[in-house]
Amino acid sequence: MTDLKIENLTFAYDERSEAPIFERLNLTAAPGEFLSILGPSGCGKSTLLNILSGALTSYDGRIAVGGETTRGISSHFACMPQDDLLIPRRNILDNACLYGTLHGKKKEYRAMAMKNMELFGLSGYERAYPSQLSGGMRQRAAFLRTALCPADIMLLDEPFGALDVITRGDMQDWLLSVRGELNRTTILVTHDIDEAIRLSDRILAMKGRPAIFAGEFIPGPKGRQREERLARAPLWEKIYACLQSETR
Amino acid sequence: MKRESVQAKTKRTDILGESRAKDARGRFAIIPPVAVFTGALVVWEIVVRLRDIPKYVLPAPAAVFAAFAEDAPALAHHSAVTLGETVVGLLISVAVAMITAVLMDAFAKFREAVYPLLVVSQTIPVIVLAPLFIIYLGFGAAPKILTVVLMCYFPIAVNFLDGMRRTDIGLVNLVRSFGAKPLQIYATVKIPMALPSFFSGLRIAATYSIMGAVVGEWLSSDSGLGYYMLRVKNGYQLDRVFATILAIILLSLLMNGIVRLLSSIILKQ
Ligand SMILES: Nc1ncnc2c1ncn2[C@@H]1O[C@H](COP(=O)(O)OP(=O)(O)OP(=O)(O)O)[C@@H](O)[C@H]1O
Ligand SMILES: [Mg+2]
Repeated sequence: MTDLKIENLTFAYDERSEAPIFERLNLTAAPGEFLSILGPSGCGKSTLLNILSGALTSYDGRIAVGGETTRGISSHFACMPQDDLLIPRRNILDNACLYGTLHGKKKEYRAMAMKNMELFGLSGYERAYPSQLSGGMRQRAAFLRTALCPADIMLLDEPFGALDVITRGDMQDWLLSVRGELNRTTILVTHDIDEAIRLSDRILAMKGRPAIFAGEFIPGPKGRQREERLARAPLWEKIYACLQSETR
Repeated sequence: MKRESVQAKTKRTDILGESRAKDARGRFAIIPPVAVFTGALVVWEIVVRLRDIPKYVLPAPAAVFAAFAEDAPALAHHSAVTLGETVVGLLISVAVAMITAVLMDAFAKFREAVYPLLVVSQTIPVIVLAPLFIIYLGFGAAPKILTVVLMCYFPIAVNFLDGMRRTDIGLVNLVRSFGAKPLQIYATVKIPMALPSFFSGLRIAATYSIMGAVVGEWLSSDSGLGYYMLRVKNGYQLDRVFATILAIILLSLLMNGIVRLLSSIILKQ
């Protein structure tokens, strides 16, 4: 388990445009912490994850994993992108064990992937191709691929965005149940306040341009029962108010 | 909300309906061109007969088909020679195109230096270069294979490169963050993603490939369809010239068909 530290992150897609996406942004995540980032569309959530995963490198500031500065693509991060990005002419099983294939451990990862197919609601579709699956199934396959990548920190960009409420709830339950097993620092980007409350240890509300963290929340009950859902309501309202207020 | 979903549904059926109509049209799409072609042959035949045009000026289609049947053994022999040169040339083109396209994709400097030259080189008609090949490469199969390569290399390389460059950068980054080495990025993502463009380039190349070999044979050879065509032309046997042209067309279609078949097998998913 590793901690993550972002110091004075400044980034703009176009240097000439007036306002950068981030200006001296700071963020820390404790080892094993599950951190959620909520924020309006276009505020820079995916951009932040792309910077962390190494896809964007032209930033100022420092990113440190376990006290060690990193820049660019590194093995510290396992990323699940917003669009599933499965490889078209590989079946679901092969897509899921991409990490194993790249590191010469295909057999071992195949076995692990097969064991998880049921859990991810993909059993019977191991040999299917991504184009034959529904959007939600593709997302689950992409999630499985990321979960099977043994990096220190998981970056999840809207992992359940394309799922119906019930399936989404099942996947959240699953994620909660395997958190201990995965045992990894996780950053989750989501639009769903309730999801953030259920899953995370800490919630940050991001907004504005340059984006700031406008609020920090420590969530309460995680269950799916009606009472627990209702018990989350006050916090839900608080986060909602924070996202809605002034800037934007 | 409800209204929206209903609208979405109707739209969907509309789209499906249209594509179904297209499918139905597709099944009969072959009829108009075949009709036009047959019509042209009939007119050609009638004109030649009515005006009594001699065979050495313009043979009628029936005479061409007769010559084709009569010459079948010779045409088959020369076709085999041409086909051999073509296939070897095409395979070399594919290998060279794939290697250089990957290099151009991997090294921007290399691409910037070479790509414009490739584009400009396409303005040079291969036929004006072919005499040089004979001087340098002699009279064997080599100059013919080289003309095939020069005709086929460009469409394959350009399409393949384009396919690789259009690969979703997010996917490339994802695979890279999974620890893929440069060659693995090509093997797992870039090359598979570029296969459809590769095959569309190969299809164009395959269609031209026979022509490349024939052009090479025109200049020097003692076998092949290009050679045979010149020989019968010099004897004013125009029906046999046309029969040779027919053989060239059939071979070109064959090459195109083989590539289509290959791509439909490989791109099944
Ligand atoms: N490749 C890019 N080039 C230029 N601008 C970009 C690029 N990608 C994103 N942007 C801009 O950066 C801003 C932040 O985008 P980002 O994708 O990070 O938003 P987001 O918070 O993930 O939104 P969403 O919730 O809709 O996914 C947007 O205004 C977007 O227009
Ligand atoms: Mg996003």
